[in-house]
Amino acid sequence: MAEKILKINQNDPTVLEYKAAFKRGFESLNDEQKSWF
Amino acid sequence: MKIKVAPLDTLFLITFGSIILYFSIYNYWFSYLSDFSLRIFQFGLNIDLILQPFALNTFHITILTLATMVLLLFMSLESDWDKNNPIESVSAKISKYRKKMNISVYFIQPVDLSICFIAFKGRQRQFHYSHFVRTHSGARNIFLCILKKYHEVNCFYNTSKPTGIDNVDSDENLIYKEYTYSREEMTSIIENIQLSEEEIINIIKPLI
Repeated sequence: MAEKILKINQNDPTVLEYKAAFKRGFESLNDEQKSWF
Repeated sequence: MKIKVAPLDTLFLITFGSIILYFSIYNYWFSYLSDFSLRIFQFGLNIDLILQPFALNTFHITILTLATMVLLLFMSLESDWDKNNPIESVSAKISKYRKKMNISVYFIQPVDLSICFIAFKGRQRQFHYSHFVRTHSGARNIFLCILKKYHEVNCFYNTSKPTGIDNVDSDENLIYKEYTYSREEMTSIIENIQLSEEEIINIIKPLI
């Protein structure tokens, strides 16, 4: 088994959209849910 | 399972669509011709005002017919995917294309499903959470099926993990890792990570 970290462009629109979606989703959580992370 | 055959639909659309299109275009130009001929033969009579709306209507009908045809064509092309029987749909798709090209399947496993679900909740195009449950359970099942059944299909196993989750304000990065396993190793790993829809619901329940 070999493990390799793939180089991806962190400024790619898809990656940026994923990050933005995660931020929006995280903000929609209540305080208790946020404390689990 | 019965899969709709796209070519038959397409044939039907082309035959009837072209007849409708022919008549609508014919009417469109005919209305202009009649407008022109009336203008010649009925001097002084302002017939334009009467015929102009008809000409516009037939033009709109032509555009609408075209749009409907394109929409139906796309629907007929999509129809070989049966949402209720994904494994059989995948088998049908692979057997359709494997003679023409080499197929590679990339399986990307999210390291943490709850993180994945938060991103799903925040996406711009909103879906019901049952869509998340169905696709995450189904993908693992389908990948296992491909690994066992289709040895000529190249399979790749990756994982994705966003870092900096504990501090949202920090710069998060998405990390993709590629693992090179043998076919047998990969099969046993995928067998171990199988999740039913109920199990996924139990994981994401506190976040819904």
